[in-house]
Amino acid sequence: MVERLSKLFDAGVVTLLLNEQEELHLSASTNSRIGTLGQIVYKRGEGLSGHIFQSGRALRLSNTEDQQEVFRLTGLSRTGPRLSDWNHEGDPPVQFLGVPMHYGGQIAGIIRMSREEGRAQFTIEDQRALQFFADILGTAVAPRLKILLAESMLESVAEGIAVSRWERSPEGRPMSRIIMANPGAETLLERDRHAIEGLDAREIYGPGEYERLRQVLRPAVDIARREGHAEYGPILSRMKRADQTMAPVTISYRLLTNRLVQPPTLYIIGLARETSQVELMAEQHKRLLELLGAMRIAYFRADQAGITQASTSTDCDISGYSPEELSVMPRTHLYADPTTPDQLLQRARENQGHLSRVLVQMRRKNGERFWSEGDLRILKDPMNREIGSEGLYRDVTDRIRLQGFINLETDRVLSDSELFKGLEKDAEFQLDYLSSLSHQLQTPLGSLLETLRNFERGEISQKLLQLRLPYVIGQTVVCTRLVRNLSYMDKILRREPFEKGRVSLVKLAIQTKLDFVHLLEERGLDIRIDDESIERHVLVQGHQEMLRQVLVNLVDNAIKYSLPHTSITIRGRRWPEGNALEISNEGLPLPAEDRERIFQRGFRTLAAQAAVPHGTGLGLWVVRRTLEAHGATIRCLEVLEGGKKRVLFRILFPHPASGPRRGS
Amino acid sequence: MSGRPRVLIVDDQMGGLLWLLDLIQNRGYDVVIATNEEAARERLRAIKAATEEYAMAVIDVMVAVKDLTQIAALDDQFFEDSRNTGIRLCQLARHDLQIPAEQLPIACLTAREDDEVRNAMRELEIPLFHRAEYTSSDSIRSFVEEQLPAVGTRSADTLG
Repeated sequence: MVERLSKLFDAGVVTLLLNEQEELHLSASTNSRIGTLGQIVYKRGEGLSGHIFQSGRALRLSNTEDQQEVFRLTGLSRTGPRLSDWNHEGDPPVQFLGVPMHYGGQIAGIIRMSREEGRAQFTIEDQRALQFFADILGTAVAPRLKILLAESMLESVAEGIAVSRWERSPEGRPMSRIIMANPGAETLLERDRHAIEGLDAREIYGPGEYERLRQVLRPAVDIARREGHAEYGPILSRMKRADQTMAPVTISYRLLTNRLVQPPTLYIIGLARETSQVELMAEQHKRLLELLGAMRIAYFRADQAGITQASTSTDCDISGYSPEELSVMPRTHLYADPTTPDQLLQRARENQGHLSRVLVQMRRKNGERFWSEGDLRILKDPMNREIGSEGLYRDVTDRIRLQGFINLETDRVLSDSELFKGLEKDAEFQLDYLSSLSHQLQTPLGSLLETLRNFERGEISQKLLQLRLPYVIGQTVVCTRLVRNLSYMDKILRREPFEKGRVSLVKLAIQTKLDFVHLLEERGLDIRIDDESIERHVLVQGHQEMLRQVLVNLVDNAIKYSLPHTSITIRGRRWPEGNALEISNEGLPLPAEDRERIFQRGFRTLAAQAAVPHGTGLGLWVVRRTLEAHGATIRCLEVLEGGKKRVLFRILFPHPASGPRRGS
Repeated sequence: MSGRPRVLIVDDQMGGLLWLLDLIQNRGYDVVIATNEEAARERLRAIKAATEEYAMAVIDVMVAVKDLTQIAALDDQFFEDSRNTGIRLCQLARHDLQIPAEQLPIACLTAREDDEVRNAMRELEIPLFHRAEYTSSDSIRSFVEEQLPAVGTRSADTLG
């Protein structure tokens, strides 16, 4: 041990000072006259003589009290030195080279040595004294001082220990030179310890690692320089084996500054252990959870009762519950619908034990609801019995709101590319919307203008003008209504409140029929309004002009896609789920998969596009938005009536707005 | 048939072109209306085969691909884009069937403002008119008046 310590401190000799608190402090001589000349090998248990020092005072074994102190400390009876310590003039004996020992800035004692055949030799007494120090080190020092390493550790093959010291290279640049390596370091680096010792520390680390570690160790180095010692780690790194392959390691550092020498010397003791796969995975998991936290993704693990067994801080951040609260309450409390967890688990069981990217509505501690997207996995024991579940989730409320805002799906979180496409589509829609309005206005206005020009130029007679006027007026009415309803649509899109009153849908239906009479004639169509059933079942509180636009759009839609010489019917119906206004027509069939999509903005079936090129896909979207603003819903169905398939739009109005049931 | 010269109009929304119908008929021409691309193709092939003759054709750029009754009967069919049906008809007339402008003057009508239709018509050397022009000199009216000298009184047939 002493040999190692003397090597560690590059000292010619190592001794110990015993202070009054029985704390042991390591001291060393750096006297260049001793230097590395004397290779001292100590054997445990040999006799004692020479000097020991207590609180800076030399323990003299000729002194009975000191002998007792030594016995108290070591349990060994020691006798006094055979050589005098000082000559009669108070100086060290000339035949010996005196090595003054410093403690607290004062000479605390002297180790004596002589020269024999040009080599420095300790006196036998001092060798024995040093043996005593070694004994003390073995019995007392190691457990008391953190700075010293247990011999078992130094001999360890599991822990690689390398001690390096800051010094200047022959070229004058600062470097950390390895001055000691243990068998563990030999195993780890697959090199002989003598090949390790003397290396620049950067040579045993993987590429870039030395620089990285030097950076992270900087604060600890500062502390060690200031306070004498510091610690850092454990930290993951990679060390370089002899064959240049890399060994993943976990390293802890102890940093010591020997301030008893000038300038103070910094020693860095690295305890490295090859990181096992399990540890690597554990570390990766830890980092992953940290990363997930940074990405605002929460992790949780719950037992079969749904009680949280472990979760990350993000789980608390999102839910608003403290870790203590989460650890005692079932996680069903976190869901808007408490049956959701059971449903999810059931779905997971049916899907090989896991679910991905599930969107559910959850609830924070303050009652606020939010949308979360996450993965869920059922946990099982080795006997394949369920023991709980774990999952990851994140708050996607803003994302879902954004998707809804630009009229995209809201039943799942879209990918970034889908969202981007949606945003692009939304931007295009704004332009298409204007273009569509422009188109819808241009044709009738152009027609009106040219009809009047015909009349002005005498191209048509008064009689023909009379014949054309209903068409022209009808188209002008459509234009006027379109322009007027722009402001209503603006209100709905902005979700602004609007005034509601009692609206007669029969009246609106009849007026709408009149507006379209020229088109109905042109297509050979008829509109049948069952006013009695509408009056009986459907009286609505709403905005008359907005609801007129609903009827106009639905009738316009029915006219566009009806087969010639068929009828469009408008009627009222009472259904278990509410009172309904139904508009149906016989025409272009609508596949089941498209019956909901037709309410999406801009959607048109291929058949519809082929039959009516000038559609915009806005009409039914406007219908649904307007009805939603009235608390009503609309569905598209296919019904069989009189052996013919008909496309039927059913508008269900909310109960409170439903009218009196005459005759019932 | 009246035996009077005829004009072909290809449009599926004739309500907006009644004024044109009146104008043409007032100049002594009959009007034949094709309300979809398929019907219009038949007329163009008949012109090529010299079985039908028209003083001019007015084609809307966006016209239905087929008759709605036909489309309704075709489940899950792939339908060609109806956005450029008028362009396809003009290409059929000028490129495929090689019907020269001297044989059949063609004018196209549109409410679109994009370059696609403008460039296509420029390449085919077919005049393109907007459905709503401020002045009659910019309108298709000027083309009709130039191409159709007054010959008689009105009559109309509808095809397609």
